[in-house]
Amino acid sequence: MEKEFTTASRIEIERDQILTALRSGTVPRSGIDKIRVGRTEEIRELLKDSDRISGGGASIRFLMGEFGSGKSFLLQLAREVAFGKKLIVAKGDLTDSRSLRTTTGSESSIYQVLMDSLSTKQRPDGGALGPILNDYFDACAEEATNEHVNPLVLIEQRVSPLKDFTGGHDYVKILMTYWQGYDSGDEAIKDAALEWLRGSIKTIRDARAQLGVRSIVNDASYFDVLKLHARLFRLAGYGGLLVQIDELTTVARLVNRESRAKNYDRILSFVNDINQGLVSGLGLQLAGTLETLTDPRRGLYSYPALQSRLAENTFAVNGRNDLSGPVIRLKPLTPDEILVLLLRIRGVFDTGRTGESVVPEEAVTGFLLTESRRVGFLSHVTVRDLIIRFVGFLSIAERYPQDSWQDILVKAPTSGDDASPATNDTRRLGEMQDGDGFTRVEF
Amino acid sequence: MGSPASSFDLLDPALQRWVIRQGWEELRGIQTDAISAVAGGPSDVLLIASTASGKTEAAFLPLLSDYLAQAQTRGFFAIYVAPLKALIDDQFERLTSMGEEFDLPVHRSHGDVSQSARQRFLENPGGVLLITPESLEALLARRGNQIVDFFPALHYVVIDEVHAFMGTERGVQLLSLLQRISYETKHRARRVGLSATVGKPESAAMFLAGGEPSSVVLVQEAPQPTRLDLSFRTHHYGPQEKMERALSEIAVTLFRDLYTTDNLVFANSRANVELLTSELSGLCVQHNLPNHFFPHHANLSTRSRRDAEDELRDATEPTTVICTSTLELGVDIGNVQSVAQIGPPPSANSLRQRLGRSGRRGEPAVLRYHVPVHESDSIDPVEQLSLSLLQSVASLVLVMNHHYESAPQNLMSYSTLVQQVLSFVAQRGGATLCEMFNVFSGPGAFPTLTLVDLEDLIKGLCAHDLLDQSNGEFVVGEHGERELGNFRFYAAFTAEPEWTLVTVTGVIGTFAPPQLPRIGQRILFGGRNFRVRLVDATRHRVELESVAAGGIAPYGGLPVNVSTLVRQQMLRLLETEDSFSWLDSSGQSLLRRAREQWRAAGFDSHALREVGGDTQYVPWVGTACFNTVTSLLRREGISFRIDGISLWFSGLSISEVRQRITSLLNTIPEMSDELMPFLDPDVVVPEKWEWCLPERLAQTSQAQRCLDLPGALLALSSLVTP
Repeated sequence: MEKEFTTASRIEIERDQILTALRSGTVPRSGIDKIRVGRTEEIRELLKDSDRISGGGASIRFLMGEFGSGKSFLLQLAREVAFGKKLIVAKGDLTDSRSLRTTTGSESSIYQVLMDSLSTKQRPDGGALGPILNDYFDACAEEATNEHVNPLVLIEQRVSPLKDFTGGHDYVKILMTYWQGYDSGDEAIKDAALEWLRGSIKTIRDARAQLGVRSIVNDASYFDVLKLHARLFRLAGYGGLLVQIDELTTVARLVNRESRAKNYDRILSFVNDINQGLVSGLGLQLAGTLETLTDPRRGLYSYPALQSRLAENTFAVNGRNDLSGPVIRLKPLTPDEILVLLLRIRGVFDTGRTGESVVPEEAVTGFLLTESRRVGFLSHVTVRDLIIRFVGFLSIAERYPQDSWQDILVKAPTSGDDASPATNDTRRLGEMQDGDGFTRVEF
Repeated sequence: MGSPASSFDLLDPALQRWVIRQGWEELRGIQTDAISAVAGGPSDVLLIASTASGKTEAAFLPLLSDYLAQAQTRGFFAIYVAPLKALIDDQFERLTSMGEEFDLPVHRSHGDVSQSARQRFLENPGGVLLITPESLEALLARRGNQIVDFFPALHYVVIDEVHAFMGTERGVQLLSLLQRISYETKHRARRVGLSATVGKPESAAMFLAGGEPSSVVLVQEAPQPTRLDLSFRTHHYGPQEKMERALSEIAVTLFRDLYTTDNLVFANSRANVELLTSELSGLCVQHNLPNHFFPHHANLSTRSRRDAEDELRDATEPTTVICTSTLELGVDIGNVQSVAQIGPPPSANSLRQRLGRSGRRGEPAVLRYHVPVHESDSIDPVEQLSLSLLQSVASLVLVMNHHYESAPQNLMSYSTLVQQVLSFVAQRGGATLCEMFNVFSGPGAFPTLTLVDLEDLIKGLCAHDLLDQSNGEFVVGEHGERELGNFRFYAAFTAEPEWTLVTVTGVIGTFAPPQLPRIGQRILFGGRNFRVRLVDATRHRVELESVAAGGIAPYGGLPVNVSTLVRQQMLRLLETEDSFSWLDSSGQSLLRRAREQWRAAGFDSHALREVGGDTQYVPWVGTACFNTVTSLLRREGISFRIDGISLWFSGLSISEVRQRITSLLNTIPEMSDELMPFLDPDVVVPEKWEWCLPERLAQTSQAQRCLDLPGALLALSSLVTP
C-alpha cells in the first residue's frame, strides 16, 4: 500500500532528511542537488563516463582529495548522475579487514559488500540484485508468452552469449537455476543461486552440492563476475553497472608490503582490462586521499606500473585542470564556494518558512568570519565540520528567534574535537589585532 | 659547476630512475653541484645552504650513487654524524625510505636507541650509520677490537650542522674520533660537510679538512636575499626598578601577539625563560584560556623538552616556546610564525641562526625584538648610553650587513685530549706514547700538539691513577676505569652539575643551585612555582610541591660574553648619524640621546677622557679582550677600577696613562699563558678534564679560551699612537 504524500509534505520530508544527514556529517541520500556547489567540471566528466558506460563502453576513475574535501559528496553526486543514465550502482568501503584482495584467510573481500549495496533509482537502499533478476525474468516470461515460446528457451537464448566470457559458463548455469527456482516456486534453490551470485557460497563443495557448479565467486574471480553482471544488467535493459569503492587509503596503509603489492596488482588489472576494451557496461570509481596516490613509499605511484598508467598531465597545474586522465584531484572549495554552500544550506533550512529567512545573509558571512578566526582554521577545520556547526547555528537561531544572531555566535559552544578556547574569547583576541609596528627589510 | 642534466647523468641508473619516480622535475642547484663535486674528485666537500634546501638529498644522492656502483663488502659504507638525537631521528626516517629502494641498510645509534636495534648493526655492520659523537665515542672505546670490522670499507663521513661543531669541544672530539678510525683502518674516508649559511666558509672548510682548507671543494647555494618583517620595541625600567618590571610589560605584549600562532621566544638566560613563562602562563589563567606557553632550557628534563618540541610540531594547537639557545639549532620543529628576541643576543651569529627559525616557505622571516632598557641616574655618561639598546641594535645591524664573528681557530683543547687519550687506551687495551702521538698529532683535532706536551699530559693522568704504566705501555688505571664506566664519560663537555628536581609527576629537571637548597625555599621552574619540601643531600635530590606564586628562578649567572665585533659596532653607532626606520620612537630618541651623551662627554678619538684628575677609558672590545687588557694592566702594576665597560685610572692624567701603557708594551709576554696568574678567577669556566692536567697545560688551555692577547695589544697600541 502506498501512502500518499502531498507535495508539500514530501518536500518537508526531504528537507529533514537533508538536514539530519548534514548534522551528522554525512552526505544526504537525496536532494543533494540543492546543496551542490561548484564541481561543475568534475560532474561533466562523470557524466561523460556514465554516457560511455551506458553506451557499452567502460571507465575507471580515481577521485583523490584531502580528508573532508568532499570526496564522499562527489561519489554521491556520481551516483545520482549514474541513476540518471539508468546505471545500477554498487558501493563499498575498504576497511582494515576488507580489501581488494584477500591475502590471509580472515579477510573478506569487498565483493559481498558491493553486492549487498546494489541499488537502482527506484530501490536506492541496496539489496536490489534479487528484484533486478525477478523483473528481468518477468519481462522475458511475458515476451515469451506473447511469442508463444517456452520462457526457458527464450531466457537461455538471451543469456547464452555470456558463456563466451571468463566464468560465464557457470554464471549462466546459476542464472538458469535461479529462473527455475523462481518459476517453480522452489525458494530454496532460488535463494541458493542468489547466494552464489552474492558471493556468499564459500566452498566449492557447497556450490557443487547445492547448485551443481564447480566454482564460486571468490577473491580470484570476483572481478570477472562483476564484468558478467554488467553485461547481464545491460541485457536487462539498464545501462550497466557502476562500482564505487571508497577509502582506498586503507590499501596504502597496509603494513605488509606483500599485501599492499597484491592489492595494487588488483587495481592494475582493473585499469588494464578496462583500458583494453575487454569490458562492456562497467564503470569503476575509486576514491581516497591524495596521499594514497602520491606517497612515495606506499602510495599508488610507488607501484611503477600503476604510476605510468595513472600519470597525470604535468602541465595541468595552477588552476588548469586536465580531467581526461583517470585521476581526478579534488581541489578544496574556495572561500567563495564555501559561502555559497552555506547560503544554499540556509535555503534548505528555510524550506516551508514563510516570511524572512531564519538568519539574514550577514549572519552567514559573520559565521564564516568567526570560524576563520578559530585556531587551526586553515589546517584543521574541514567543510564537513563547518557544515555541522552551521546547521547547529541555524537550529539555535530557529529555536530562539528573540536572540540576535550575533549573540548566538558569541555564545556558541565549541565542538568537542579540539580543545580550542571558547569562540568568544578567540574573537576578543582576534579583535586585538597585531600587525602594525612591523617594517619590511631586505638584506 | 655541472649543469642539471649532466649531473643527473653522473648518477647510477637505478638512482636516476628513483629520482624520476619522486616526481622531481629537475635537480636543484645545490644537488647538481654536490653531485659534480663528489663525482669530480677525491677531496672533501662542504655544502653550505639554508635549511630545507634539499641539503640532505644533495649529500646522499652522490653517496648512494657511489654505493650502488660498488661491490658490497662488510662494514659501514658511510657514517652520518649530527649534534642532536632528534636530528638523527628525522634523517633516519628520510633515509630509511630511500634505503629500502636500494637495499641500503640504514642504522642509527644514540642514547635513546634500543639495545636490540644496536645489536642488529653490531652484528651486521653495513650501509649507513647515523650517530652522535658521544655514541661514536662509546662505540670506539667499548668495542675497539671491532673497529676493523666496522670501518674497513668506510668511504664517507657526512657531518651535519658543521657550523655547530666548529670551535667547540665537541667538534674537537669529533675530529679526534675520525682520526682514530683512520688510524686503525689505515685510510681516510672522504668527508662531506653540511652547514648553514653563516659566518665564513673558510673556517668551516678548515674544520672539515682538519687544516687544509684549500683542499675542500665548496658548494654554496646562491645567496638569497633575506626578507624580514621586523618590529623593534624598547621597554624602560626606572633607575630603582628591576628588569623584572620590563619583562612583565614585555609579557603582556607577547601574550597578545603570540597567543594564536606558533612562535619561539629567545630569552637568553634560564632565569629570564622562567620569569617570562611564568608571566605568560599567568596571563592565560587570568584570561581563562588554555596555556600555550612552554619553557625550554638545558636544566629541564629531556621529557619536558621533548614535550615542548612536540607541541611546536603539532599543527592543531598554537604553541609558543620560550627558550635559551637550546632551540637555535636544526631540530626539525618546522618553521614558526615569528621569533622574538628579548634583549641583546649572545652574538651576531646567534641572531642570524634564530632569525632563520621563522618564515614559512616563501614568506619573510618575522622578528619581534623587545629590549629592556635601564634608565640610569648615574652621572657617568657611559652609564647613560643605553648599552643594552646599543648592543641589540649593533647585533642586528651586523646581521643585516652579513658580518659575523669568526669561529675560534686552532682551538687546542687539552681537556678533550684527556678524554680522547683515555678512550683510545681503552679502545686498544693499551697504547704507547709513540702510538698516541701518531694518532693525535698533526692537522686535525690537536694541530699544535707537541710530544713534550703529550708526555706531560700522560704523566699527569698517571699521577691521578687514570692511567697506569706497564711494560712500556699505558693502560687504564683504577680511577680511569671508574670514569670510563660512567656514561657521562662519552660527552666531551661538562655536564651541568646537578640536583635532581622531583615532583609528584616525576623528575622535572636538574639545577645547580648557588647554595644548598633549603626547605621552604620557593623556586620557579618549568614556568611553575614550587616550594622545596625535602632536601636529600646524599642523593642530590630535591622534592617539590606546587604553590601558587612567589618562586625565584634558581640560576647563578654564567659570565655573559660579548664579542669585539659587536662592541666595535656599538661604538660606530655612537659615532655616526645612521638612522633606522625600524627602530620604535622611544628607541630612536634613546639612540639620539646616547649619541649626544657620547659627544658631550668629551672622550677623545681613543676613547679616553680626563675627569677630575682621573682618566676613564672605554676600550669597546669583547669580553676576552677586555679581560686580557685588565690582566696586562695588573701584570704591569697599573692600578685601575672596572666600572661596567669602562676602566678608571685614578690619579692619572691621560698622558700619564699613555706613558704607563707605552712601557707596558715594551714588556709584553710572549704567550698569553703568562697572564693567567693575573686573570680574575671568576671569569674562568673550567673544562671537563682540566682538573687532572698538569698546571702548565691547564693554564695554556684556559688562556686560550679566556684571553685574546693580539686583540688586547692592538687596542692598547692604538692608545699610544697619535
